[in-house]
Amino acid sequence: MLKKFHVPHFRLTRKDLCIPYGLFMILFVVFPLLLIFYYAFTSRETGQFTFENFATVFTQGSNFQVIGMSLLVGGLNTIFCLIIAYPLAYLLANSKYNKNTILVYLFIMPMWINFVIRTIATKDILSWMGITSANMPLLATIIGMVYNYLPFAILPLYTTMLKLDKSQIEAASDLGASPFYVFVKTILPMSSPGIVSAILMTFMPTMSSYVIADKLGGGKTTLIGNLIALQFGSASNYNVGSVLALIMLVMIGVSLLVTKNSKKEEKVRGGLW
Amino acid sequence: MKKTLFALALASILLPNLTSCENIITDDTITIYNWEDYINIGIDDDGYYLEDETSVLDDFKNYYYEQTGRTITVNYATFSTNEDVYNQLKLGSLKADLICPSDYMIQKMAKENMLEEFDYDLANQSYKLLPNYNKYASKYIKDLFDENNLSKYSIPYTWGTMGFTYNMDQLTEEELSSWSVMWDSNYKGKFTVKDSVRDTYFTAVMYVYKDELVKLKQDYQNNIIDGDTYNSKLAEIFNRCDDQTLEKCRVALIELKNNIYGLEVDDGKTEIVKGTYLASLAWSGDSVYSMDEADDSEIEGGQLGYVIPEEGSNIWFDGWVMPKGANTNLAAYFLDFLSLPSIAAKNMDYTGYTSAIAGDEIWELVNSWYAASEDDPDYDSYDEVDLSYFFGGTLSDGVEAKIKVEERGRQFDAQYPSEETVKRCAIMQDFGAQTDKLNRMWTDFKAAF
Repeated sequence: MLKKFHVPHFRLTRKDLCIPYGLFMILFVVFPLLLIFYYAFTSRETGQFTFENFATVFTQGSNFQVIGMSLLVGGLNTIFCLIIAYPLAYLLANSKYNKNTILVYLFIMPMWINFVIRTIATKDILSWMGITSANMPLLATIIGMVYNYLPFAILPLYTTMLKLDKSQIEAASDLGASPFYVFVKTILPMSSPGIVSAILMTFMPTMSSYVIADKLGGGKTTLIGNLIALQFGSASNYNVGSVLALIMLVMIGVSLLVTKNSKKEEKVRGGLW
Repeated sequence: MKKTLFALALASILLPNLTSCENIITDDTITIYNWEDYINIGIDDDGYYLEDETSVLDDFKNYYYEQTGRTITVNYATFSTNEDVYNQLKLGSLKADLICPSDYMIQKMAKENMLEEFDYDLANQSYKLLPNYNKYASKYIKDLFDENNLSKYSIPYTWGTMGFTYNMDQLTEEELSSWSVMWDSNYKGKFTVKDSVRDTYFTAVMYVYKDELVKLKQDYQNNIIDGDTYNSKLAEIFNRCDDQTLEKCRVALIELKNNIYGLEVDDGKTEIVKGTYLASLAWSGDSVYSMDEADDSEIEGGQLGYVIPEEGSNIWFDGWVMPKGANTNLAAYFLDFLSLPSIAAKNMDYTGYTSAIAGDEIWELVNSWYAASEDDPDYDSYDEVDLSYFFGGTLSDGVEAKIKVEERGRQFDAQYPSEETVKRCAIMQDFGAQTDKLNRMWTDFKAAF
């Protein structure tokens, strides 16, 4: 009976497997990007091609202030995350301290809780400690950032630390290197891919996040993400907002390039020197 | 093969269910966009159906059927900011018969020719299709709309003022009698303002032109100028947005930034209850919410009050408009239905925002909330407030719009400011060509550190 139906010949090839993502990418990555470009280069009033929006952004000093603030907060957040996450990941990767990897789960558990709830909870804890937007908005923002992005720094570091070649470390100390030299010459180079991804995972989202700065900084610390939200929201100026979004895109792009280069370098050097 | 068949069969069962939630075909369909929690839909905060309460939207379906003999579907959706609605209308992604934006956005939409007009007779203050509205809407609000040339484009829904919600245990009304208290370093870290340019900008204007405003008020109190002149002059100062004013306000706001606790948009109404800060710039409706919460709360946060500083303040409203292409007849039916005092009272009881409609049912509701009991031994010592400026002409014969209120400076005054108070309140106009400069000033303020 079933033979009556004519089914067109169709074979699933490997190429076809890309179709879902291809469609997704066109709809949610390429198309929005094109829209941002379109808005950035057209005038709000006439819809004609113009550089006016760029002029508007670059002639206002406070925009640079905000970009500077974003870099500062992003940089500090990344540094603090690394300082905390690096030794921690090293310890966690050592099975002596971390039986059954339960500790790792403990440290990344905050990620399982809703981001907004976490931020509001941080705000309450900080204000109980006397750190509020009233007296230290910048500090409150950075603490909130570190708390939120720490798991993103721990995870990549932890996975690289797991793969550290123990024999190299042993060899270095056997051949008489001081503990400091052992660290600088073996552990640090071997874990650098983890450091790079940790930096990317913390620095990039800091640039675009705005909820943390809004809630913890009490609206007093303004990052480029807040500025973009402002332009697309109450100022209803999509064009200037798009220019800001492009600037952020470039900043993140640059940070990607920088870290990519350092990765290559590491490959050439063979990871030992 | 079998799998394909199965999938087809499954799809044929599921698809109709997925695509047509409401299969009933009605004669008419109306699409309404409103703020969240801004109409009585018969569901409480936790999503449960309220007992003995029906949704106003269902009531409307019955009303419409009784009036016309036709059935109607109500598509009801909500939005969260004025700019969202504006942007969506501009992009053409929103089609509606009725939308309920705020004052300045109505002006902006009207200016940009985005709205259908109502059939309005200015001389008689009456709409052709809205008999209930003509009869029950407050004269005060009608006049306000006429003065601002809004009557043609919009039907007022709710209104209120802006002021401070404050902790009555720690601050006095006296201390908050001027906006300049926010700049006073003795009160460092005790205030919040709104993280939205329009709501915070005017406080800076009031601060910058304080001397002028105080003088104006004295002139009015000494009967040198009358109430209407006072109000219109105040409105002029209130709406200043020239380059010079912007510069002055920029400096003032940056100074303010270091003296306040922070900026917020929606946290404030709950944080003030917890006692995180002592006073917060608030819309009267939110303030009522905070005061109610504080009264019910177990935490020792202190009692909250509401005060409008003496220099003057903002009077805001949200109104219904019909975007281009709306079905004006259907919209009129719905608006006239909302203007029935019984329905307006039902909404007001649910949302807590003051309705633009007056009438017996609203008056009874207000009395049930605030009127002091005659059995109260202190009854004679309570203030009697005359609200005839608002309720005049809409109540039954023999009912006077006077109420003995037990507690002043609290919920009652937030919901129904006295006639003296509204004299010093003004509507904020759309800033037109200066809007971009205003936004730039706000960016400077936000970026300052």
